[in-house]
Amino acid sequence: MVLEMKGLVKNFGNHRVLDGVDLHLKEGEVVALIGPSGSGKSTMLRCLDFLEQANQGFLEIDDIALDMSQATEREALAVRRKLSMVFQHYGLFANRTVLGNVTEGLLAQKTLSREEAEERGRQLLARVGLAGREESYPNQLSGGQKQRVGIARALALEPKAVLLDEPTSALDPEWVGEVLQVIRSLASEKRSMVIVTHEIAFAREIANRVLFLDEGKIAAQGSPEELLENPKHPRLQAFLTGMLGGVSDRG
Amino acid sequence: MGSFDLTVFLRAFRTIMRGLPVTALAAVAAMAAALVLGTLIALVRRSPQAVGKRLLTAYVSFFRGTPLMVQLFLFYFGLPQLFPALSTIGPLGASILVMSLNGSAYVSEAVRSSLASVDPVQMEAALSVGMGKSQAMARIVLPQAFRIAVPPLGNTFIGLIQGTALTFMLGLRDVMGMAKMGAAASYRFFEFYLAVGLVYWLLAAGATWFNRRLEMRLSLGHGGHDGA
Ligand SMILES: Nc1ncnc2c1ncn2[C@@H]1O[C@H](COP(=O)(O)OP(=O)(O)OP(=O)(O)O)[C@@H](O)[C@H]1O
Ligand SMILES: [Mg+2]
Repeated sequence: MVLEMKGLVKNFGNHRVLDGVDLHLKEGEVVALIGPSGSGKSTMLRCLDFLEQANQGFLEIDDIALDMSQATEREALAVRRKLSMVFQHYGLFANRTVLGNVTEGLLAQKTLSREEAEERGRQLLARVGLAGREESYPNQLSGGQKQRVGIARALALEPKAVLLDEPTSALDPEWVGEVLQVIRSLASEKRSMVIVTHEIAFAREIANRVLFLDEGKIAAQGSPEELLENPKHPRLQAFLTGMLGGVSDRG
Repeated sequence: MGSFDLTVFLRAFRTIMRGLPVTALAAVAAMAAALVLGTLIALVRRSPQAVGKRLLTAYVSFFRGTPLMVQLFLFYFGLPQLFPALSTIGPLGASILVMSLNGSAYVSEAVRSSLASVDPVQMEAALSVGMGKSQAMARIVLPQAFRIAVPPLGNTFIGLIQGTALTFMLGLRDVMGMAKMGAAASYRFFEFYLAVGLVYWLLAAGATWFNRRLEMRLSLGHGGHDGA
């Protein structure tokens, strides 16, 4: 097991956004998290990466086990160093080059020397099809290129699991394919991933397991076939019909 | 009615330039200290659990809300009456100290608003690649904030240069002090004050030029003029 989270509760003020969510992720597994807008998908990933502090919840990841509501800054840092996040709006460092974005975490943590970090950075950039753009700055890239840098940056740290929050939903349609292609290649090399997505067809293609988050709870989960082709849960049926009916996730 | 005398003017210019090292030292030292102090103030005022936050708000408000001249007099003539130990600090030290405090109030406001304009995702992304909070601040957020803060910080610097003109009242031989003495000795007020005005103007123009260049360099570091 790469990661096991139990009983995650998160309130914003007196609004309970997550109400006892469990998640486990096996080595090499891809879990797709789907659900209506506002159901708490992003909040769940953010709590996992300690960008939000949970109100309740227990997390085990690698050799760490902790109460998520009591975690110190130190423990949060230790968890973050085992996970990587790919942000919906990229979140590339504006004051770093493309290569600098990928190596920044390695250099800040001093895991590698500059030469080794840059070597790894260049390899990863080549993998996501961005060889030659090392010295560009983020604002010189298209959305699809930015997100591919975001993915390379996440991989640089050799995380136990990659968390992706709607990695394609901020993109113009023309760039979605290239980013999905990169994610597909990660799945095929058995990277452990949790991906929040509104691309149902893509979830069906790459996920080993699909979770349907609704009103702060996991309302249904199962294999993509069970869950997406034969939904039993009425809210899930309604959700999928809405999606197929062309409701776009590009808000 | 006298008339404008070019040789007097040029002589005035030369006399005044002897005050330049003091003016430059006071302005540059005060700006350097103000940058450090002002940035620290901005960071402390931003952090959620800061104890001294109210005190710092009052500090910033005081130094921005009172004339520099009053601050100089208060520190140089007033405080030593309460704390005699302070009288050992000379006029140059007192000027630099007061202008540092004064400048830090303006710097902290500039840094505070530029910090607020950095996208919060920058901090989150930095945390997510395994940086601690202060590391994320130092490597990612502050550099971006400084880039935004360069124009207002340039104004603060020009303000400090002009502020040094008041320090002659503490007996400092800065450019203004030299001009005042030269004018009083020769009764050539127009030539001396015109020359000193020109010196300040040139200093401000130099600072503006430097500021523009810095701004350009930093925005090139971002690959252009728009944000990320
Ligand atoms: N920082 C915050 N402060 C207050 N409320 C918040 C905050 N972040 C999220 N929320 C609320 O929590 C709920 C869940 O938000 P979240 O962003 O996790 O949903 P989501 O499932 O990711 O939605 P989407 O599909 O639109 O991205 C929403 O009602 C949102 O308004
Ligand atoms: Mg979301």
